[in-house]
Amino acid sequence: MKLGINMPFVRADGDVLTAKDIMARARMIEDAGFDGIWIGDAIGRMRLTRPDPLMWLLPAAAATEHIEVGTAIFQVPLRNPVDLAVRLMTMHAQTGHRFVAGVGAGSTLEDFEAAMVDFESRFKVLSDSLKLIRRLLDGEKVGATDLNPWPSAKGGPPILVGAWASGRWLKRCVDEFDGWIASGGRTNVPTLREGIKRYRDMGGKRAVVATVLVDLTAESTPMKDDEGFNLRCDPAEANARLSMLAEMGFTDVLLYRVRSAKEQESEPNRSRYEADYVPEQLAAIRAIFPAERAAATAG
Amino acid sequence: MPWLTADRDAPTLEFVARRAKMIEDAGFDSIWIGDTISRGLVWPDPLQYLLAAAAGTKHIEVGTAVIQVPLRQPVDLAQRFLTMHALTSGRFSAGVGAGSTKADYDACGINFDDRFKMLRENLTLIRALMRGEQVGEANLHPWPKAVGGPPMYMGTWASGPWLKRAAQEYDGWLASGTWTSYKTFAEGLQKYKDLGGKRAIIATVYIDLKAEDSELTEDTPFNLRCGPKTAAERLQRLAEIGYDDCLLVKHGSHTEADLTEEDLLEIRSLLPKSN
Repeated sequence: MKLGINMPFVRADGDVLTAKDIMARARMIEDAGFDGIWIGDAIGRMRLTRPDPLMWLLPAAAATEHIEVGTAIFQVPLRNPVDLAVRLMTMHAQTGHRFVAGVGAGSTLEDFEAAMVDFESRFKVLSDSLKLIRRLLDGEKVGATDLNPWPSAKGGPPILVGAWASGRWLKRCVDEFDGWIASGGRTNVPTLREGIKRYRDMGGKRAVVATVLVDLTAESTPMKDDEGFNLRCDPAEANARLSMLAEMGFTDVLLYRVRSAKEQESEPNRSRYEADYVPEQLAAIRAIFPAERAAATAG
Repeated sequence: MPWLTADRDAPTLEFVARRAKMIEDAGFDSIWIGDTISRGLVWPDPLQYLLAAAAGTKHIEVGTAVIQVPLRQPVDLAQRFLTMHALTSGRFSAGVGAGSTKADYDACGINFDDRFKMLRENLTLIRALMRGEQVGEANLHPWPKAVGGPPMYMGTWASGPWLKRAAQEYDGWLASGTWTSYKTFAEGLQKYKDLGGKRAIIATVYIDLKAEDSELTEDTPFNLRCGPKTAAERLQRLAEIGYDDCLLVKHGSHTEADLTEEDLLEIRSLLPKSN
């Protein structure tokens, strides 16, 4: 099972990262042995500044050799689909095929209101847009539109779709796309277990649990059946929880480091989602599920 | 800047960074890219392309000339401009416009006839969001250092109402370098300066130093399809008229092989830095 981690948005001093700062952190993540760098997508939500996710991942890819860069998840209905197809094609080409497009309809009304896009029709728009994007990336002419992709970029990046474990999109992840992204933060263990079984039974391959909050300094309490999957616990318990996901059959886990209680105490005004990295913390997080073990449970 | 490798394939990050560094090292002041969607030739997302160029260089300006604003979702575009501005530490210049190619509008499912209205409305929204204002439900909460967003240059003909906006509401004017004569350049610049305009940029001037010299009168369309000596004189003349920047495109330079380091050095030497 592969381990990816989120990319911070601000420096320890609270200021915005520049391309050079992103590059330094991306190298740190690759050097710590993670398999991927993933970032989410929000437009002005929770009073936080959020960048364009694709542009944020570019310097990360420029600074690294082999690590995957991906979105989890990019809200397709908030963009013009033809414009988005060009952006995905460009990402695929520029990163030398290291980009993975984790996409979805989005589930936050605020983002749709901010972008002035209808929230109710989001699943239909997602469906229509992805169909169009796929055809354009394959080099097809659709109506008046033809992107003429570069030969090696034809087909575009792998597309993984964010879907609820219980929903009907799970089948489409299997039949039409390259994999499934489950929200760790909002899905409890019994639902993940049921979802991955259904997904595997339908023939699904890559299965990712995203937004798994990590705080290894938190007090360990047994995860309740109605609690979203998380790693706010000590390292031994974190290892047990990740091993459980690997045994269920998930292929990737995307971690999101949150500020610890101690960090919050020293700077109470900062959002707990705005944690920066130092190499020791990354090494400690990586160590909870050693890569040897990841290799042993792969597939 | 070419967007195809020598074997006509995709530009990777390393490729773009290497080409950008070559341009910076040759002494150019800026790297610019246009914007097309569906005109029979593959084209990268201009912002992602320029970001890779900025990541590979130290100080050179990177800009769009011009990005077709109505083809993008405006709140999304505001977020992309802010991201560019922050990631490049202020080296990005947003050359914006309505565009004039109906094929791109058809490709994106946007009504071509609405383009100027959309340009106006979308830019008003984008600029308010970049200043950190709340517009309806939208508020991007820009990073303190990124508030205000990148400088914006308006791509427009000298004849229309947009020139006044370029002079008074934006950071400068991007004049078209095609189909424009010395006379029109001079008249346009005068009008722009009278309106209070500052930075004036001539975009998309095709250059081919191997071409035969042809006569250029006050009324014939300006071009740099001529020998180096004539090209140097013509650029000098644009500087004398009062333009601050001239954005060159080597004729037919789609691939990396079409624009070599020697080409870059030769082109750069046409107008010495002191000018």
